[in-house]
Amino acid sequence: MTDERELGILDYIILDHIERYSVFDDYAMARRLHCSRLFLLERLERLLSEGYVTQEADAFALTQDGASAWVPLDLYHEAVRAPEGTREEFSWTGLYIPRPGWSDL
Amino acid sequence: MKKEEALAAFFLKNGIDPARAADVNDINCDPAIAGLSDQVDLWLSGIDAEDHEIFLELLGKYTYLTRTQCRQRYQEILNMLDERLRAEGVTLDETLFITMEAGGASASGGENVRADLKGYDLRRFSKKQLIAAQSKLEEDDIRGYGAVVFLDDIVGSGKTMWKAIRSFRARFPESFGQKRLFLACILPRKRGMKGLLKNCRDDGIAVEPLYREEWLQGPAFEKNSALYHRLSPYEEMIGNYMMQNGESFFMGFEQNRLLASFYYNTPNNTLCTFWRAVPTNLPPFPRDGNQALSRPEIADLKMRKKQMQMQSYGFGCDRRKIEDDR
Repeated sequence: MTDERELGILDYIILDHIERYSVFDDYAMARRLHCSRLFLLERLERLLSEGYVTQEADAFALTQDGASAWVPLDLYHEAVRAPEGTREEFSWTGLYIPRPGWSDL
Repeated sequence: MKKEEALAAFFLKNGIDPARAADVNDINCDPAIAGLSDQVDLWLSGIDAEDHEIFLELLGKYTYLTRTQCRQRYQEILNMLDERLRAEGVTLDETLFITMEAGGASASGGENVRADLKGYDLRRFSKKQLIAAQSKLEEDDIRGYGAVVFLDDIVGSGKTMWKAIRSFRARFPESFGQKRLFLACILPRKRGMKGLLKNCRDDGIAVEPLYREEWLQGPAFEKNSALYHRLSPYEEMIGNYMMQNGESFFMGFEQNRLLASFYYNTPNNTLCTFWRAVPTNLPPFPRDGNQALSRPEIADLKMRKKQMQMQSYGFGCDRRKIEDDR
Protein backbone atom coordinates (compact mmCIF):
# COMPACT_ATOMS: atom_id res chain seq x y z
CA MET A 1 0.00 0.00 0.00
CA THR A 2 1.45 3.36 -0.97
CA ASP A 3 -1.00 5.58 0.86
CA GLU A 4 -2.43 5.16 4.33
CA ARG A 5 -5.50 7.28 3.65
CA GLU A 6 -8.80 6.47 5.28
CA LEU A 7 -11.19 4.81 2.85
CA GLY A 8 -14.52 6.49 2.18
CA ILE A 9 -17.95 4.96 1.70
CA LEU A 10 -17.53 4.95 -2.09
CA ASP A 11 -14.29 2.98 -1.75
CA TYR A 12 -16.11 0.43 0.43
CA ILE A 13 -18.94 0.18 -2.11
CA ILE A 14 -16.43 -0.49 -4.91
CA LEU A 15 -14.48 -3.03 -2.87
CA ASP A 16 -17.68 -4.83 -1.89
CA HIS A 17 -18.87 -4.92 -5.51
CA ILE A 18 -15.57 -6.39 -6.70
CA GLU A 19 -15.49 -8.94 -3.88
CA ARG A 20 -18.95 -10.16 -4.85
CA TYR A 21 -18.88 -10.00 -8.65
CA SER A 22 -15.19 -9.82 -9.68
CA VAL A 23 -16.18 -7.25 -12.30
CA PHE A 24 -16.91 -3.56 -12.17
CA ASP A 25 -19.95 -2.34 -14.04
CA ASP A 26 -19.38 1.40 -13.77
CA TYR A 27 -22.41 2.13 -15.96
CA ALA A 28 -24.89 0.27 -13.75
CA MET A 29 -23.31 1.59 -10.54
CA ALA A 30 -23.31 5.18 -11.80
CA ARG A 31 -27.03 4.90 -12.53
CA ARG A 32 -27.71 3.45 -9.09
CA LEU A 33 -25.66 6.08 -7.27
CA HIS A 34 -26.68 8.94 -9.60
CA CYS A 35 -23.10 9.94 -10.21
CA SER A 36 -20.65 10.19 -13.08
CA ARG A 37 -19.07 7.04 -14.52
CA LEU A 38 -15.68 8.73 -14.70
CA PHE A 39 -15.91 9.69 -11.04
CA LEU A 40 -16.29 6.01 -10.16
CA LEU A 41 -13.52 4.95 -12.52
CA GLU A 42 -11.18 7.50 -10.99
CA ARG A 43 -11.91 6.07 -7.53
CA LEU A 44 -11.29 2.58 -8.83
CA GLU A 45 -8.05 3.73 -10.44
CA ARG A 46 -6.96 5.10 -7.10
CA LEU A 47 -7.75 1.80 -5.38
CA LEU A 48 -5.67 0.08 -8.06
CA SER A 49 -2.71 2.37 -7.60
CA GLU A 50 -2.93 2.06 -3.81
CA GLY A 51 -2.78 -1.71 -4.09
CA TYR A 52 -6.28 -2.65 -2.91
CA VAL A 53 -7.39 -4.06 -6.25
CA THR A 54 -5.85 -5.77 -9.28
CA GLN A 55 -7.17 -5.69 -12.85
CA GLU A 56 -6.91 -8.29 -15.59
CA ALA A 57 -8.86 -7.07 -18.67
CA ASP A 58 -12.49 -6.95 -17.50
CA ALA A 59 -11.86 -8.90 -14.28
CA PHE A 60 -11.00 -7.35 -10.95
CA ALA A 61 -9.90 -8.92 -7.67
CA LEU A 62 -9.10 -7.73 -4.18
CA THR A 63 -5.50 -7.94 -3.06
CA GLN A 64 -4.63 -9.02 0.46
CA ASP A 65 -4.87 -5.37 1.57
CA GLY A 66 -8.17 -5.04 -0.27
CA ALA A 67 -9.56 -8.17 1.35
CA SER A 68 -8.63 -7.00 4.84
CA ALA A 69 -10.14 -3.57 4.19
CA TRP A 70 -13.31 -5.04 2.66
CA VAL A 71 -16.49 -4.81 4.71
CA PRO A 72 -19.59 -6.70 3.56
CA LEU A 73 -22.17 -4.00 2.94
CA ASP A 74 -25.31 -5.91 3.81
CA LEU A 75 -26.69 -7.83 6.72
CA TYR A 76 -26.71 -11.16 4.94
CA HIS A 77 -24.08 -13.62 6.02
CA GLU A 78 -23.41 -17.11 4.78
CA ALA A 79 -24.63 -19.77 7.24
CA VAL A 80 -21.81 -21.07 9.34
CA ARG A 81 -20.82 -24.52 8.18
CA ALA A 82 -21.11 -27.30 10.75
CA PRO A 83 -17.70 -28.65 11.75
CA GLU A 84 -16.68 -31.72 9.78
CA GLY A 85 -18.37 -34.90 11.05
CA THR A 86 -20.80 -33.20 13.43
CA ARG A 87 -23.59 -33.12 10.85
CA GLU A 88 -24.17 -36.87 11.32
CA GLU A 89 -24.54 -36.50 15.07
CA PHE A 90 -27.79 -34.61 14.69
CA SER A 91 -30.95 -36.61 14.26
CA TRP A 92 -32.83 -35.33 11.25
CA THR A 93 -35.64 -37.91 11.55
CA GLY A 94 -38.98 -37.12 13.11
CA LEU A 95 -40.38 -33.75 13.90
CA TYR A 96 -40.43 -32.80 17.58
CA ILE A 97 -43.97 -31.96 18.63
CA PRO A 98 -44.40 -31.19 22.33
CA ARG A 99 -47.00 -33.19 24.14
CA PRO A 100 -50.16 -31.37 25.29
CA GLY A 101 -49.65 -29.69 28.60
CA TRP A 102 -45.84 -29.56 28.28
CA SER A 103 -45.76 -26.03 29.57
CA ASP A 104 -47.54 -27.07 32.80
CA LEU A 105 -44.52 -29.08 33.84
CA MET B 1 -41.07 -12.87 -39.91
CA LYS B 2 -42.23 -13.70 -36.40
CA LYS B 3 -41.10 -11.87 -33.30
CA GLU B 4 -38.96 -14.82 -32.15
CA GLU B 5 -37.21 -14.97 -35.53
CA ALA B 6 -36.55 -11.23 -35.51
CA LEU B 7 -35.12 -11.39 -31.99
CA ALA B 8 -32.95 -14.39 -32.90
CA ALA B 9 -31.60 -12.48 -35.93
CA PHE B 10 -31.01 -9.42 -33.74
CA PHE B 11 -29.10 -11.41 -31.11
CA LEU B 12 -27.06 -13.22 -33.75
CA LYS B 13 -26.14 -10.04 -35.64
CA ASN B 14 -25.02 -8.29 -32.47
CA GLY B 15 -23.35 -11.24 -30.75
CA ILE B 16 -25.67 -11.03 -27.75
CA ASP B 17 -26.38 -13.93 -25.43
CA PRO B 18 -29.85 -13.11 -24.01
CA ALA B 19 -29.31 -15.41 -21.02
CA ARG B 20 -26.19 -13.44 -20.02
CA ALA B 21 -27.99 -10.15 -20.62
CA ALA B 22 -30.62 -11.25 -18.09
CA ASP B 23 -28.09 -12.41 -15.47
CA VAL B 24 -27.60 -9.64 -12.89
CA ASN B 25 -24.28 -11.18 -11.85
CA ASP B 26 -22.87 -11.04 -15.38
CA ILE B 27 -20.86 -8.08 -16.67
CA ASN B 28 -22.95 -8.35 -19.88
CA CYS B 29 -26.18 -7.84 -17.94
CA ASP B 30 -28.35 -5.37 -19.81
CA PRO B 31 -31.91 -4.74 -18.59
CA ALA B 32 -32.89 -3.27 -21.98
CA ILE B 33 -31.98 -6.53 -23.71
CA ALA B 34 -33.41 -8.71 -20.95
CA GLY B 35 -36.77 -6.99 -21.33
CA LEU B 36 -36.61 -6.60 -25.11
CA SER B 37 -39.10 -9.34 -25.96
CA ASP B 38 -41.81 -7.78 -23.78
CA GLN B 39 -40.95 -4.30 -24.99
CA VAL B 40 -41.31 -5.42 -28.61
CA ASP B 41 -44.82 -6.69 -27.78
CA LEU B 42 -45.73 -3.27 -26.39
CA TRP B 43 -44.17 -1.56 -29.38
CA LEU B 44 -46.05 -3.70 -31.88
CA SER B 45 -49.32 -2.99 -30.09
CA GLY B 46 -49.13 0.56 -31.49
CA ILE B 47 -48.44 -0.63 -35.04
CA ASP B 48 -50.98 -2.03 -37.50
CA ALA B 49 -50.82 -5.83 -37.59
CA GLU B 50 -50.19 -5.82 -41.32
CA ASP B 51 -47.05 -3.73 -40.81
CA HIS B 52 -45.59 -5.87 -38.01
CA GLU B 53 -43.50 -7.91 -40.39
CA ILE B 54 -41.72 -4.85 -41.80
CA PHE B 55 -40.78 -3.54 -38.38
CA LEU B 56 -39.68 -6.99 -37.23
CA GLU B 57 -37.45 -7.35 -40.28
CA LEU B 58 -35.85 -4.01 -39.46
CA LEU B 59 -35.38 -5.16 -35.87
CA GLY B 60 -33.52 -8.23 -37.17
CA LYS B 61 -31.08 -5.91 -38.99
CA TYR B 62 -30.68 -3.52 -36.08
CA THR B 63 -27.19 -2.75 -34.73
CA TYR B 64 -26.89 -2.75 -30.94
CA LEU B 65 -23.48 -2.13 -29.44
CA THR B 66 -23.16 -3.72 -26.03
CA ARG B 67 -20.81 -2.47 -23.33
CA THR B 68 -18.24 -5.10 -24.26
CA GLN B 69 -18.45 -4.27 -27.96
CA CYS B 70 -18.12 -0.53 -27.33
CA ARG B 71 -14.99 -1.09 -25.27
CA GLN B 72 -13.55 -3.47 -27.84
CA ARG B 73 -14.06 -0.91 -30.58
CA TYR B 74 -12.33 1.81 -28.56
CA GLN B 75 -9.54 -0.64 -27.91
CA GLU B 76 -9.20 -1.26 -31.65
CA ILE B 77 -9.08 2.50 -32.24
CA LEU B 78 -6.28 2.78 -29.70
CA ASN B 79 -4.37 -0.07 -31.33
CA MET B 80 -4.68 1.60 -34.75
CA LEU B 81 -3.59 4.89 -33.25
CA ASP B 82 -0.66 3.35 -31.40
CA GLU B 83 0.54 1.68 -34.60
CA ARG B 84 0.48 4.93 -36.59
CA LEU B 85 2.05 7.03 -33.86
CA ARG B 86 4.82 4.59 -33.07
CA ALA B 87 6.20 5.00 -36.57
CA GLU B 88 6.86 8.64 -35.72
CA GLY B 89 8.12 8.07 -32.22
CA VAL B 90 4.99 9.52 -30.55
CA THR B 91 3.39 7.59 -27.69
CA LEU B 92 -0.20 7.39 -26.50
CA ASP B 93 0.85 9.41 -23.45
CA GLU B 94 1.47 12.33 -25.77
CA THR B 95 -2.01 12.17 -27.25
CA LEU B 96 -4.95 14.35 -26.34
CA PHE B 97 -8.46 12.91 -26.72
CA ILE B 98 -11.10 15.55 -27.35
CA THR B 99 -14.63 14.29 -26.83
CA MET B 100 -17.66 16.24 -27.96
CA GLU B 101 -18.85 18.96 -25.64
CA ALA B 102 -22.46 19.00 -24.49
CA GLY B 103 -24.57 21.61 -26.26
CA GLY B 104 -26.60 22.37 -23.15
CA ALA B 105 -26.08 22.22 -19.44
CA SER B 106 -27.19 18.60 -19.12
CA ALA B 107 -24.86 15.61 -19.38
CA SER B 108 -23.93 14.45 -22.87
CA GLY B 109 -22.94 11.13 -24.42
CA GLY B 110 -19.32 12.27 -24.15
CA GLU B 111 -19.18 10.97 -20.59
CA ASN B 112 -19.96 7.44 -21.84
CA VAL B 113 -17.28 7.79 -24.53
CA ARG B 114 -14.64 8.76 -21.99
CA ALA B 115 -15.73 6.07 -19.52
CA ASP B 116 -15.62 3.31 -22.14
CA LEU B 117 -12.28 4.51 -23.46
CA LYS B 118 -10.75 4.64 -20.01
CA GLY B 119 -12.54 1.63 -18.55
CA TYR B 120 -10.74 -1.01 -20.57
CA ASP B 121 -7.39 -0.23 -19.03
CA LEU B 122 -7.66 2.27 -16.21
CA ARG B 123 -4.01 3.16 -16.03
CA ARG B 124 -3.48 3.75 -19.73
CA PHE B 125 -4.50 7.42 -19.68
CA SER B 126 -4.16 10.26 -17.28
CA LYS B 127 -7.16 12.39 -16.44
CA LYS B 128 -5.61 15.34 -18.31
CA GLN B 129 -5.64 13.47 -21.62
CA LEU B 130 -9.42 13.03 -21.79
CA ILE B 131 -10.97 16.38 -22.60
CA ALA B 132 -14.65 16.89 -21.86
CA ALA B 133 -14.91 20.61 -22.64
CA GLN B 134 -12.43 21.95 -25.14
CA SER B 135 -13.85 25.46 -24.64
CA LYS B 136 -12.11 25.43 -21.25
CA LEU B 137 -8.75 24.37 -22.64
CA GLU B 138 -5.84 26.78 -22.46
CA GLU B 139 -2.74 26.83 -24.61
CA ASP B 140 -0.74 25.45 -21.67
CA ASP B 141 -3.03 22.42 -21.41
CA ILE B 142 -2.25 21.26 -24.93
CA ARG B 143 1.46 22.00 -24.91
CA GLY B 144 3.59 18.88 -25.04
CA TYR B 145 1.04 16.74 -26.87
CA GLY B 146 2.09 15.53 -30.32
CA ALA B 147 -1.29 14.22 -31.46
CA VAL B 148 -4.95 15.14 -31.03
CA VAL B 149 -7.82 12.69 -31.50
CA PHE B 150 -11.34 14.05 -31.96
CA LEU B 151 -13.44 11.25 -30.56
CA ASP B 152 -17.17 10.52 -30.46
CA ASP B 153 -19.34 7.43 -30.27
CA ILE B 154 -21.19 8.22 -33.51
CA VAL B 155 -20.55 10.38 -36.54
CA GLY B 156 -24.06 10.79 -37.91
CA SER B 157 -24.33 13.95 -39.98
CA GLY B 158 -20.72 14.82 -39.09
CA LYS B 159 -21.72 18.32 -37.98
CA THR B 160 -20.84 17.90 -34.31
CA MET B 161 -17.32 16.71 -34.98
CA TRP B 162 -16.75 19.28 -37.72
CA LYS B 163 -17.78 22.00 -35.28
CA ALA B 164 -15.33 20.66 -32.69
CA ILE B 165 -12.46 20.58 -35.20
CA ARG B 166 -13.16 24.12 -36.41
CA SER B 167 -13.49 25.43 -32.89
CA PHE B 168 -10.17 23.85 -31.91
CA ARG B 169 -8.47 25.39 -34.95
CA ALA B 170 -9.94 28.81 -34.22
CA ARG B 171 -8.79 28.75 -30.60
CA PHE B 172 -5.31 27.31 -31.15
CA PRO B 173 -4.30 28.27 -34.68
CA GLU B 174 -0.57 27.84 -34.03
CA SER B 175 -0.70 24.51 -32.22
CA PHE B 176 -3.26 23.17 -34.67
CA GLY B 177 -0.80 22.98 -37.54
CA GLN B 178 1.89 21.38 -35.42
CA LYS B 179 -0.06 18.40 -34.13
CA ARG B 180 -0.99 15.23 -35.89
CA LEU B 181 -4.78 15.07 -36.09
CA PHE B 182 -7.10 12.09 -36.02
CA LEU B 183 -10.82 11.63 -35.93
CA ALA B 184 -12.32 8.48 -34.54
CA CYS B 185 -15.68 6.96 -33.69
CA ILE B 186 -17.12 3.51 -33.07
CA LEU B 187 -20.27 3.98 -35.16
CA PRO B 188 -19.55 5.98 -38.32
CA ARG B 189 -22.33 6.76 -40.76
CA LYS B 190 -21.07 6.39 -44.32
CA ARG B 191 -22.25 9.72 -45.71
CA GLY B 192 -21.54 11.65 -42.51
CA MET B 193 -17.95 10.46 -42.42
CA LYS B 194 -17.51 11.12 -46.13
CA GLY B 195 -18.81 14.68 -45.73
CA LEU B 196 -16.65 15.30 -42.68
CA LEU B 197 -13.48 14.17 -44.44
CA LYS B 198 -14.39 16.28 -47.45
CA ASN B 199 -14.87 19.35 -45.25
CA CYS B 200 -11.43 18.78 -43.74
CA ARG B 201 -9.83 18.34 -47.18
CA ASP B 202 -11.55 21.46 -48.53
CA ASP B 203 -10.30 23.47 -45.55
CA GLY B 204 -6.77 22.11 -45.89
CA ILE B 205 -6.91 20.17 -42.62
CA ALA B 206 -4.80 17.02 -42.65
CA VAL B 207 -6.76 14.57 -40.55
CA GLU B 208 -6.62 10.78 -40.44
CA PRO B 209 -9.78 8.73 -39.75
CA LEU B 210 -9.62 5.88 -37.25
CA TYR B 211 -12.36 3.27 -37.64
CA ARG B 212 -12.94 -0.08 -39.33
CA GLU B 213 -14.75 -0.32 -42.65
CA GLU B 214 -17.13 -2.92 -41.23
CA TRP B 215 -18.37 -0.43 -38.64
CA LEU B 216 -19.79 1.88 -41.32
CA GLN B 217 -23.55 2.30 -41.19
CA GLY B 218 -25.81 2.97 -44.15
CA PRO B 219 -29.47 3.97 -44.16
CA ALA B 220 -32.04 1.27 -43.38
CA PHE B 221 -33.57 1.89 -46.82
CA GLU B 222 -33.24 4.32 -49.70
CA LYS B 223 -35.15 7.57 -49.81
CA ASN B 224 -38.38 7.26 -51.78
CA SER B 225 -38.17 3.47 -51.82
CA ALA B 226 -41.35 1.45 -51.21
CA LEU B 227 -40.27 0.86 -47.63
CA TYR B 228 -39.69 4.58 -47.14
CA HIS B 229 -43.27 5.35 -48.16
CA ARG B 230 -44.68 2.50 -46.11
CA LEU B 231 -42.97 3.73 -42.94
CA SER B 232 -43.51 7.43 -43.57
CA PRO B 233 -46.93 7.70 -41.86
CA TYR B 234 -45.51 6.20 -38.63
CA GLU B 235 -42.34 8.27 -38.75
CA GLU B 236 -44.33 11.43 -39.42
CA MET B 237 -46.79 10.82 -36.64
CA ILE B 238 -44.09 9.96 -34.08
CA GLY B 239 -41.34 12.28 -35.31
CA ASN B 240 -43.56 15.33 -35.52
CA TYR B 241 -45.38 14.76 -32.24
CA MET B 242 -45.01 17.84 -30.02
CA MET B 243 -42.02 19.20 -31.86
CA GLN B 244 -39.75 21.56 -30.00
CA ASN B 245 -38.39 24.53 -31.95
CA GLY B 246 -39.73 22.96 -35.14
CA GLU B 247 -37.29 20.05 -34.78
CA SER B 248 -38.79 16.95 -36.35
CA PHE B 249 -37.37 13.45 -35.94
CA PHE B 250 -39.03 12.12 -39.07
CA MET B 251 -36.77 9.30 -40.36
CA GLY B 252 -34.24 10.24 -37.67
CA PHE B 253 -32.15 13.39 -37.35
CA GLU B 254 -31.69 14.92 -40.82
CA GLN B 255 -33.47 11.84 -42.18
CA ASN B 256 -30.36 9.71 -41.55
CA ARG B 257 -32.54 6.55 -41.31
CA LEU B 258 -30.08 4.62 -39.17
CA LEU B 259 -30.89 1.48 -37.24
CA ALA B 260 -28.48 1.58 -34.34
CA SER B 261 -28.24 1.94 -30.56
CA PHE B 262 -25.59 1.92 -27.89
CA TYR B 263 -26.17 0.12 -24.61
CA TYR B 264 -26.48 3.51 -22.90
CA ASN B 265 -28.55 5.42 -25.45
CA THR B 266 -29.94 5.55 -28.97
CA PRO B 267 -28.64 8.22 -31.34
CA ASN B 268 -31.36 10.48 -32.75
CA ASN B 269 -30.14 9.58 -36.26
CA THR B 270 -32.01 6.29 -35.82
CA LEU B 271 -35.56 5.95 -37.18
CA CYS B 272 -37.64 7.62 -34.49
CA THR B 273 -40.16 4.76 -34.38
CA PHE B 274 -37.41 2.74 -32.63
CA TRP B 275 -36.62 5.26 -29.89
CA ARG B 276 -39.19 8.04 -29.50
CA ALA B 277 -41.76 7.43 -26.78
CA VAL B 278 -45.10 9.11 -27.49
CA PRO B 279 -48.60 7.99 -26.48
CA THR B 280 -48.91 5.90 -29.65
CA ASN B 281 -45.41 4.47 -29.58
CA LEU B 282 -43.61 2.50 -26.86
CA PRO B 283 -40.26 1.98 -28.56
CA PRO B 284 -37.85 -0.92 -28.02
CA PHE B 285 -34.79 1.36 -27.57
CA PRO B 286 -36.01 4.55 -25.85
CA ARG B 287 -33.65 7.48 -25.94
CA ASP B 288 -32.66 9.78 -23.08
CA GLY B 289 -33.70 13.33 -23.91
CA ASN B 290 -35.43 14.49 -27.09
CA GLN B 291 -38.55 12.77 -25.85
CA ALA B 292 -41.95 14.36 -25.86
CA LEU B 293 -42.40 16.71 -22.92
CA SER B 294 -44.08 15.11 -19.94
CA ARG B 295 -45.68 18.34 -18.69
CA PRO B 296 -46.50 20.40 -21.76
CA GLU B 297 -47.25 24.09 -21.79
CA ILE B 298 -50.72 25.14 -22.90
CA ALA B 299 -49.18 26.88 -25.92
CA ASP B 300 -47.57 23.57 -26.95
CA LEU B 301 -50.89 21.77 -26.57
CA LYS B 302 -52.57 24.34 -28.78
CA MET B 303 -49.88 23.89 -31.40
CA ARG B 304 -50.20 20.12 -31.10
CA LYS B 305 -53.96 20.34 -31.64
CA LYS B 306 -53.34 22.33 -34.79
CA GLN B 307 -50.69 19.91 -35.99
CA MET B 308 -52.80 16.87 -35.22
CA GLN B 309 -55.68 18.20 -37.24
CA MET B 310 -53.42 18.71 -40.22
CA GLN B 311 -51.57 15.45 -39.70
CA SER B 312 -54.60 13.27 -39.21
CA TYR B 313 -55.89 14.44 -42.55
CA GLY B 314 -52.49 13.81 -44.18
CA PHE B 315 -52.12 10.50 -42.37
CA GLY B 316 -55.53 9.36 -43.57
CA CYS B 317 -54.65 10.32 -47.14
CA ASP B 318 -51.36 8.42 -46.95
CA ARG B 319 -53.00 5.32 -45.52
CA ARG B 320 -55.65 5.42 -48.16
CA LYS B 321 -53.00 5.74 -50.85
CA ILE B 322 -51.10 2.74 -49.45
CA GLU B 323 -54.29 0.66 -49.37
CA ASP B 324 -55.14 1.72 -52.91
CA ASP B 325 -51.65 0.79 -54.09
CA ARG B 326 -51.94 -2.72 -52.67
